[in-house]
Amino acid sequence: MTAVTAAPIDRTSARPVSVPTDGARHVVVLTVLGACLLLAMLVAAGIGAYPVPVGEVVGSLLDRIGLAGVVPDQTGQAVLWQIRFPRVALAAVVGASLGCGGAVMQGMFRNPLAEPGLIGVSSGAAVGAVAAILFGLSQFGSGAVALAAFAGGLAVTAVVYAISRTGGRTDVVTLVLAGIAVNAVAGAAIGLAMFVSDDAELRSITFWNLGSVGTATWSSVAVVAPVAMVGVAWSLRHVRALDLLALGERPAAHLGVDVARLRRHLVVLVAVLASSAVAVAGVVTFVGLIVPHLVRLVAGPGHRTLVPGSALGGALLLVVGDAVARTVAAPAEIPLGVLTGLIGGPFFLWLLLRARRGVGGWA
Amino acid sequence: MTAPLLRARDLTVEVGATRLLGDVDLDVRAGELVAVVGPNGAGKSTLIHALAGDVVPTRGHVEVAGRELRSWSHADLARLRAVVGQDTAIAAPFRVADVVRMGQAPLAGGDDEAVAQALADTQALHLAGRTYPSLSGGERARVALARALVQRTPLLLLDEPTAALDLRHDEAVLGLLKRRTRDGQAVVVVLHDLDAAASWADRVVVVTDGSVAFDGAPAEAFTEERLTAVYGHGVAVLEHPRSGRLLVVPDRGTPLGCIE
Repeated sequence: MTAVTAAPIDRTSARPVSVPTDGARHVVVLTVLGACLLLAMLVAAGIGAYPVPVGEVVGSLLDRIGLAGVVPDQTGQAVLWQIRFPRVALAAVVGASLGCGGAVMQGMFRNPLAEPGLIGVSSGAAVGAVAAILFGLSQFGSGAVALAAFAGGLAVTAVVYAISRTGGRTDVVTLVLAGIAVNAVAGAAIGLAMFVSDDAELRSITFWNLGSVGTATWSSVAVVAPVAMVGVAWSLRHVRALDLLALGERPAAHLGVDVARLRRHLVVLVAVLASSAVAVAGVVTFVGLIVPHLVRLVAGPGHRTLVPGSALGGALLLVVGDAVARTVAAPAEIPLGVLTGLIGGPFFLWLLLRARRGVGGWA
Repeated sequence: MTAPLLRARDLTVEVGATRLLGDVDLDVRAGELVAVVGPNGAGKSTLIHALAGDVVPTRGHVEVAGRELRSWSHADLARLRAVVGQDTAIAAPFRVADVVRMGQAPLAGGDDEAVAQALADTQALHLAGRTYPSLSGGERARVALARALVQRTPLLLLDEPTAALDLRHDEAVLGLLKRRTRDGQAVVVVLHDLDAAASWADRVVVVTDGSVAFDGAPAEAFTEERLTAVYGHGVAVLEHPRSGRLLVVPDRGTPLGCIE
């Protein structure tokens, strides 16, 4: 941690005191997360039913960009480029979207318990996808289901947001309660859909509803990656305003933030990030909740580190999570959403208790 | 006389059928320390909120630096006036230094020396590395004030910045505000301590039942009759036996529960 010296003398202690800064921690946290993500992606690409050594994974990548490297055999190349790489890439992109969306959402609500799922994006996307499956839209390809999920997430977010806006302002409590109501209705709709669907549809709905990146193809990566990149970049533009918002809406306004406009941007941002992720990977719970918590523990509450850190951390978590999900019970695969929920739920409870005990409340 | 930095005319704020503020006129000029005093629920905070632009007045208008408040952009307004409200809670465990740095958000670049100076001025420099939620109420109030100071605005609107402060810090903060006005800053500050208002303020605005009962120099504003009527409790206005200045204290000899 660097320290900037300060000329004035503190009268209380009668000695010069410096004002702490966070520049070094910001760089260290993001560098370490980035390096871990890169490493995890290389390792995750190598492991599976047809293992490829990490050296050959790197070699295959180097070979593709025209550099010399130890290349795996023909089957290995096919496994890497047709199955593993798109899968790992999709896990990273989806994780980055969910992590970043969670960090933005928590800042926007001034509440570390907020999650994209909270305002109904996940369940809205689920209803969209399930409706698409039920009405036979899946015959137009998986893209149609993804698009329906995306539309569902955005539509629900818009509805919840419209309900919660009164007199030009957004009331957080109403927004959360509306989200809960929408989630309940969406849950019932999915339940009904499962009740009336045949076996094949039921399988499809269930698999989608539990979350997985197992259906990853380069085309699904190509669809969601630009959305995620734009979303994260757009989020980074708001980091300072999110910090100011932590002071409260009025103090933020006093410091020059157009709070109503900021909220509009953030709602759209969260809806886009989360529903695009859900659209290609199904409902993967807890990533948007836990990743920002973990980053905050290490990096503090400043959004300059928290937002990009949560994007990197979310990507890391899903890359590792997916590698575990497909190897721990091989040859079977545990749905990714089940795994994150299984680990995420108790972990979140532990965080809750820990934070409650800590000095100054939520940390 | 210079044009007022802050001007309110016919300022009226109603919530439903309740009138919180009625037809308030107020001018604040550069270099003035204006204390707003009055009993609980008189409309002091509502006045600050209306002057800050937090609430849209039902009627009347506020001008800042000669222009209608609403015609300024959020960013420009943040370079003209800083506000510290009564609620100084922060949602996340930011460190004190980072909280004060947030006050520089409207300005073109950060200046850590100014942050240290503001913390030293509010006698909070030793808290710089602490997390904000771990501070006491009085410490938070001083850090919140430091945050407003680094905003470097010509106008400061402060709602009870000294309510949680001990005697020493109370005096230190008011002395600091007085020095700021000497440097040309205009300060509007809500105070409950009438004696402090009498000692430090250039002008006092006595608010009661949502309107201004008196606006003028402390010596004229603070008469036993007026204060006793406004507060519904006996108030003694004396001459300080040593300094000879105004001394405003509750009259504990004759508790008057209900004054006509």
